[in-house]
Parts: sequence; structure tokens; C-alpha cells
Amino acid sequence: MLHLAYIDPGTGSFVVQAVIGTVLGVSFTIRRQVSALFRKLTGKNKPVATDTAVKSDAGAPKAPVKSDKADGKVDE
Amino acid sequence: MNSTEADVTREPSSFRDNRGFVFWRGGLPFRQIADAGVADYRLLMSSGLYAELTSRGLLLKHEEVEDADGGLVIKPTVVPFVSYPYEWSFSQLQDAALLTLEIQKTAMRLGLTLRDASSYNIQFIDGRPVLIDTLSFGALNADEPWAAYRQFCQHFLAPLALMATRGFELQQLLRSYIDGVPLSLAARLLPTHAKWRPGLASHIVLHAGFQKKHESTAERPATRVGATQREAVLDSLERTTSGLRAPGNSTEWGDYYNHTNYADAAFEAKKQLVGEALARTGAKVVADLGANDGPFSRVAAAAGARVLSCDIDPVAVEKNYRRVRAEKETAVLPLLLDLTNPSGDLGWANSERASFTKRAAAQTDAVLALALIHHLAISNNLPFEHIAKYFSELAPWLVIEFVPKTDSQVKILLATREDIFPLYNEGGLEAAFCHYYDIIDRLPVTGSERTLYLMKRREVVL
Repeated sequence: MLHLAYIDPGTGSFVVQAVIGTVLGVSFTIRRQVSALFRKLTGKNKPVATDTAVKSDAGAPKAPVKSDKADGKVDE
Repeated sequence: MNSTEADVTREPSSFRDNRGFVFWRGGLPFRQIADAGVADYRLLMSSGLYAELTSRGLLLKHEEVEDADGGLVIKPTVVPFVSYPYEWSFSQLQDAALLTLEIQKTAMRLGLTLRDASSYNIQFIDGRPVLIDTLSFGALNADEPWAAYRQFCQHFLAPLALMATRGFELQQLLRSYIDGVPLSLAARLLPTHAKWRPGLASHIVLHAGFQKKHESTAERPATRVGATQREAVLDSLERTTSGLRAPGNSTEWGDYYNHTNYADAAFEAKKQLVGEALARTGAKVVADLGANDGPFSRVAAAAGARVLSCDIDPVAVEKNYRRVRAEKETAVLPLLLDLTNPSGDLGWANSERASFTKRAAAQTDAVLALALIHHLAISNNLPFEHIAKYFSELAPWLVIEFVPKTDSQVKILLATREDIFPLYNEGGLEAAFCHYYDIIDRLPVTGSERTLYLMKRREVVL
């Protein structure tokens, strides 16, 4: 146990993960099951554990606001 | 490693991990894997995680090389330019954070975990964030919380949340707090409404509270965090991180290219002029200082150069990066840089994180300084000679635009102050710069009274 931590993970940081994980675990599990069911019903088979996740080509994990075409702006 | 070779030096920032370290040999980086790290490294390679992450471009590739002493040494792909989180735009830091979480999710699926979540382990290569620390992985133990959770929150979530809610300026906390923003500080600085957002309430405010509560705990409590809890925490971190928005309103980000006040023809002519001047330098790496959102960086990129596209304005850097991301550009690296106070040598012994000047000078062939000189000489009272000396330390070539006092932009700068700059004219500039440079050419900028200079550094300062 804990052989992984060459940096100090912090005792409080460990305990709080148990607390947050427990509180969020229920809704997380429900969401995952709903999304699994949805995939099953719609025949889609994406390997997604959670429904909001980062896209798998995460070089650009977040979609840009807009594609920009023109060039330039004030140079001051 | 053959330590008898004279040109072998250990990377000064590589000392924390007992499982290996980076050294330089013949100008190239290598990673020595210590005995303590061999098992984890083998697991990374045999689990399929390395193959998956590198095929998706999320982890730096490497090859194993022969080692004279029988140890394990890998040769990673060279990172073109090392930049630091205090030089990134909001979205660069956010993308680096989301990359870290995506890698952790992938690792957990294959029975591994990230042992650290340092923002310094992420570098931008060809426009995309990439994890460069091959030794960050270890076996995932059942019921173990994420050891790097605290570091992730300090390095990524706290500065992003502070920027999103208080403004870009708070990013500069990362220059002071090299191991990330302390959560107790972040919790105090967050506005009240943000403290009630579930993600920030959990990972920053509650987290800081638990840190304080347990700060004197000598024995580690037997905390068990099962797989579902662990995934739920990671899922929440991802939602919280991706839900943060850069300060400013979204329309500002969307349509900025329509807000140009350039006369199109003059702007196109200037681009051509700059492109031709840069082509004469043959520069492979250009430092575009005062790049704004990078129109001329792209001129340099079109000429085949890799560009450090630096600006003091976080909004401009943010726009620049969004364009890189949207257009999948590979040659332009947007960086936040206050030229009057560039990133210094930071960290242990002032040698962990090198200054911008050292990093740029090591590889820049040409400095591009358009519409910049008046900000330095007038707004910051810098004598021309100081500017010439600094630029000549950065690169052998200089393409610089002189903006005269008759220019509307300079008139604005002088409107409310005494003009104490009698030598601010082309003659004054040439007299100062000629100590450090040979002036190769003077080119009038169409549609203005400005002049573009092409200069080459002298071998001997006059």
C-alpha cells in the first residue's frame, strides 16, 4: 500500500477522496448504468465510462468556440 | 550511462523521483531508469498502456538505448521548446489538465495509475499537450486513493478556478508557488458563489479543510477508496475542470477576427514584407515578441519556421492558442510573456525552471519585434541600447519595426506624459543598435510611417 507515492499525497487529500468518492459514487454509478443502457438500446457501442468525458483524441480535449478563418487583428 | 563522457550532465529539474532521472548527452535528453523504476517501466510497456497513449499522441514516444553500465536508459523524442504553466493561456492549462485526467482514466482501465500530476510534466508539441514523463506510471493497487490528487488540484484545478472566477492575472501565482497554488489559499481567494459550485466546493474548499484537519496527523488513517469511488472522483474532477470557462465573455472569443482595424491591403503588404525579411534570415526558430494573437507568427510559420509566439496580453495568447487548436497548427507555440519581466530562473537553486531568456537564446535564430519598440522605449523608459543588447542575446537575426512619434499609437503613449525621449527616432535607433548589429536593410511599411529593419548580430560588440 502507498508504495506509489514518491510525492507526498497528503493525509487530508487521501481522506477527502474517500468522502467525495462515497458521496458522488452513487450518482456516478447511476449515470454510468443509464448511459450503458442507452448505448445498448441505441446499438451504439462507444467505450465511454462516463457521459461527459474528454474526447478520446485528447490532443484538443475541449472543443474550440469557433473555427476562425480570417487573419490578423490590431497589432498594438 | 557512461559517466566518463565529458558532455553528460544531469537535468537540474530531475531529482524528485527515485525511479529515474533525465540527463543530457551530446545535447540530447535521455532518461535513466533506476532499479527501483524498472518494474513499473516494464509494466507500462507490457500492459499496452504505452502503445495506446503514444498512438493517441498523449505520451511522448521513446526508444530504449544501449547503456554502457548495463542499466536501463531510454531516449525520448526531443521536446522542441520547453514551456511552463505560468507561460500558458487559460485553455493551454485547461487542456493540459484534461490530458492528465484522460491519461489517468486510460491508465486505470489497464491497471496502472499516474504517480504524479505535475503540470511541468506536460509540454506542448506540435500544438498539442503531451505527457513527457515516461516514469509517471505505476501499478494501481486496489482500494488506494489517487496519490497525485493533491498535486492535480494544486497544479491545475486551483489556478484554473481562480483564473475563471477572478481573472487571468491570478495565473501568476504559479510563478511564486512552483508546486501549484496551495488549496488553503485558493479556498480563501475563490469568490463566495464559486465556493458553492459542487466541484470546487469538493476539490478545493472541502479538500483544503481536510488538509488542515489532518496536517498534524502522524499516522495515516486506513483510508480505503474502491474502484467506483476512485472513478467517481476522477469523473468529478473532469467535469469540474472542463466546466471552467476562460474569463471574459464567450462572444469575445468567437468573432475576434472580424475586429481587425487594419486596412486589408496594407496588412497584406506588411505580411509580405515581414515574410520576405524573415526568409532572408533563413531562421528555423523565430521568437515573435509582442505577437498579439499571432498573425505574423503565422507568416513566419508559413516560411517554414517554428515560432515562439509571445505576448503580454493573456487575452491575445488565449485567442492565439484557440486558433492553433482549431486549425491544428503545429508550428506556432503561443506563450504569455511580459518582456519587461520575463520568466526567471525558478525553483531549487534557481536552476529547476530555466528563464525564458535562457530557453529562447538556446535555439532562436531570429527575433521578430513588430509594433513593440514604442512599448519598450516609451512605456517602459528602456534606452534603445538596452533593447538592442537583450535582443542580440536572444538570436543572431532581428526583424524590428520602428514606430515613429508621428504614429497614432505612439501619440497615445505620449498623450499624458512628458516627452523625455529626444532620441526616439530612426537615427537614435540605428545609432544604438549598430553597436550590436549590422543593419542589413531598411524597408518602409506601406500605409504607415513605420520602418522595418533587418539586422544581423555582430560577432564583436562595438
